Amino acid sequence: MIDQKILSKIYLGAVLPTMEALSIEDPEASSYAAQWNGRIRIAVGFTGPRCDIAFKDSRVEVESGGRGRSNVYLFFPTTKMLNALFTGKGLSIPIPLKGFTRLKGLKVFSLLAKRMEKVLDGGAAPEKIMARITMDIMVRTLAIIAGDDPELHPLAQKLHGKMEFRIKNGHAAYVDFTGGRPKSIVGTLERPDCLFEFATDDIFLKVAEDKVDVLAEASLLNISLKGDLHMAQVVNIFLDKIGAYLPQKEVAK
Amino acid sequence: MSDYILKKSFELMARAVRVIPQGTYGHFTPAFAVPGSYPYYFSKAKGSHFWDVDGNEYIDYMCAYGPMILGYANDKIDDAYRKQASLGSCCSVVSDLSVDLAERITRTIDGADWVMFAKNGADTTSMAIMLARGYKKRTKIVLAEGGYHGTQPWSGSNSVGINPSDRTDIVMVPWGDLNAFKEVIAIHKDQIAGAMFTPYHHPAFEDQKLPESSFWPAMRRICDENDIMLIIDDVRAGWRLDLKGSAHYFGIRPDMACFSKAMANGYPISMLVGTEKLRITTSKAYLTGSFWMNTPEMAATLVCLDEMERINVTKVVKELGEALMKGLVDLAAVHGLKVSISGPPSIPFMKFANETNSLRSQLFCGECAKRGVFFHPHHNWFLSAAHTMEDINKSLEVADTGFKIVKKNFGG
Repeated sequence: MIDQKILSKIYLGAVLPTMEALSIEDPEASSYAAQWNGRIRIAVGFTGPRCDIAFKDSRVEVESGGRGRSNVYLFFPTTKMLNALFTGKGLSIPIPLKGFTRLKGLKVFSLLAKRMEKVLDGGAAPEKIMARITMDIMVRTLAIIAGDDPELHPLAQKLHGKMEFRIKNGHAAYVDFTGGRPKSIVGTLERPDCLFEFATDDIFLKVAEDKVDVLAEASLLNISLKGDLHMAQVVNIFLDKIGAYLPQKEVAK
Repeated sequence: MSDYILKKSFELMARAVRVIPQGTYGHFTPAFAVPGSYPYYFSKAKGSHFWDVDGNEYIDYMCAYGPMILGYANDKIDDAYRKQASLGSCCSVVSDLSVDLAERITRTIDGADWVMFAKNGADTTSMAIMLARGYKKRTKIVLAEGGYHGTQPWSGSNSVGINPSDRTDIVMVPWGDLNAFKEVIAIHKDQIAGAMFTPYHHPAFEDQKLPESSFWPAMRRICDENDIMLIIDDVRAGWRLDLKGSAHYFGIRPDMACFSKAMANGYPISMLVGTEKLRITTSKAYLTGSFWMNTPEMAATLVCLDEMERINVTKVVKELGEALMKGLVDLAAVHGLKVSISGPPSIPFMKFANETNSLRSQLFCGECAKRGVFFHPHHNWFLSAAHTMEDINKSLEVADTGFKIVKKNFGG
């Protein structure tokens, strides 16, 4: 059973930030982002998850929390309505509390969202970009469900340390389980407590798509698993759960 | 000594992954050791050594994860096995050997009034909880967090394909925590059929934990007061602490105990032993397996028991373990490193005291493997009677290099 509130957090906190990377790495997305400067807030209910999408000089930043001034304010009365925006299933009509005359901003957001969907569907971006955004979605989702999912949270509380996912000579991101809420961070560590390193973008994407025998690839040295392997075992349970929250296309096709 | 080359191991693994999930699975997966430093396939084994498919020789401190106690390819045991195999392995009726062996076991294991043979430890742990439930007509079983009793759905060691209902009646407590045990008894009053624990705590990745002297007598008393069957899973530790059973070593008599691993020095056999009060319930249960009554393993067990008794195996492996552990502690100190040794000397585990992520252990064990000494960074080790002081000294020479490399890479 998927908790719709957690799913909303994943969409706003893990999937939507893909726009950031696309505005930098993907020329088409960058050209859309360049068409408007401003800030769009998305909020679910009065106490639900929210975020701001800031457009500035062809770059996009997605900030969770939604504080300060925004030019456009899209209010989704329920998590289900917000989630429907991403899944395309069910009714998804936000209430424009503010800025509904800022058609330019809404148009740019819509163009970017369509581009993001196309990229996430696969085939529209180079493998390197796919690997980067997939890893970021995976790690951000991992941190969210480790903190919020009632089955996973007790397991996450027993973990102590930082687990890094890294593509050899490429992108890296990690989850910090050192205390309090698990946090996802893009970047690499000198000595993570547990390291999951993939020889190539392709191997990583296949792991993300659940199309590879991870332990076999580890034995063949295409994947390196070092450090706290107990943490790796637990995180593996979390990774399996990501598939339950996100339909395959949100991770990669 | 130059580092080993593992060319054939990798070639075989590349073939294996096409036809065997994970290449090889369970505790044998190289992914949980240090891939790239460890051999994947052995070609022969003798005494305390094995040779991999690339011809590299190893002094083995994993002893096949426990089963090897008198040395690989032990002539006496192998002869007994071969002789019996030539007379027929499994048959349409059981062999007289099953009676001989059961009698021998009841004379050997303290408190064993009857014996049920099987093949693997997991057969017996499942059997034990079933019989406890059958005897007590209660549903719940208490296990220890981090304990290992096999990969069955109820055991908690697997996350794939497990229904919540598989573990509905399993109650977990921290190993060795009498108060937690009392609490779950209070919560599940008159519902707990049995409590199954290993004789001491031997989790993977962590230090092993020996019981306080008061622990087992107190546990026995609490179980008696609450009419709970006390089951000892002696599959891993059995035969290395006391031939009468690890429970005897720690001063208690369980209601049932599970044995396997070293009982036939590597041949597949396991057994559940129990006390008189459980005999009738056990007699009503339908328990069987195609190969549970195979005779060569029983012949091997009989000789293995004689041999273990003759050489006083528990004393031998204890002394060897003490020598190895003392050597490792001293050597680590020379390099300014601090290691923690846990568990009984015959089943020891070494970790670096200033880490919880095993990075130093992985480097140390990987470097030792590359130089012919097979330790494990995450799982307890085993000594055998086939190890010699020459093995220990050679291993310490290699360990010296391992510690040097750890010091260089981590500084301390």
